[in-house]
Amino acid sequence: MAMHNAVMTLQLERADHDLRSVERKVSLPGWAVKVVTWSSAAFSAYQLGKMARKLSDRILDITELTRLVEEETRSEPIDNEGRIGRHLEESLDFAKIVHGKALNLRHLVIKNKRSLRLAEACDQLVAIAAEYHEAIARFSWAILEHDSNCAGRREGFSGNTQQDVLALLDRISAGE
Amino acid sequence: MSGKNVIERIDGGNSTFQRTYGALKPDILKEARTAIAMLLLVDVENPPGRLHLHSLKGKTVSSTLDPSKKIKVYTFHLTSNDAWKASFTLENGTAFLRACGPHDSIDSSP
Repeated sequence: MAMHNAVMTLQLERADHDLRSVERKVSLPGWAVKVVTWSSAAFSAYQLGKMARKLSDRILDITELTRLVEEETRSEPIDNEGRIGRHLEESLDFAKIVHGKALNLRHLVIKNKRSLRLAEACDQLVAIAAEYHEAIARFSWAILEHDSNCAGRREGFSGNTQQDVLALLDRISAGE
Repeated sequence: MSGKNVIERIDGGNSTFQRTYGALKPDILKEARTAIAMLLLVDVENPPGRLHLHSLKGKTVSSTLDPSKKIKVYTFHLTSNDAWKASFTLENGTAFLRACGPHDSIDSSP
């Protein structure tokens, strides 16, 4: 799994880079949308389409990584410290931001009665951001389920009444 | 109240569950704590709708009691905004909690 960890880290860094680049480009204020769409709607639509295709390539990479993790049979945890999990959580938050901003941009384009092609490009980016989020979440769960299969167990964290269960959960969150 | 589909005991001894539960942010943790406690006495074949509890189709994981066996895994929602969920196996009436993590779907109208 050591090799896969290196591949995972590299692919996630690439995915992050692409996602941040998309986020910068969809963060236009309303006045800028008017200017951009007035002067170069076709070019903007082309750029958004290009970004959506790049993100869709990343989705394929992450899907392949998920398959590798699901097929991994070794009994060592992949993410014992939770480092990859934290990275993936940031990627999920970012996918939500891109999704929201692409929706907002689409709304502005339609409100200003600008290019239909640009609105369609926004639609495509919204759909890709949602799929990206789904791919990252599935990857995250593949790692969690793998690690859970080979996780150690601690006795004394079991209960059959609500009070017992709440108490054991409080002990876990307190770091006992 | 007894039956192989009813949760009579909850076990949080899995170290991956403990790590991921302990890492939840305070606002999520508050809801997660309540959702997990609500699992008691739930029939997994007929669960209350608010938990969104279901088994993962086509997916099996190692049994806690006999790791050589593969058994069904269930998930349920930890938060009302459906952003977080948790997984568990059910063996002899005990729900063995496995992990907490993000939900797949993005909110389509944020």
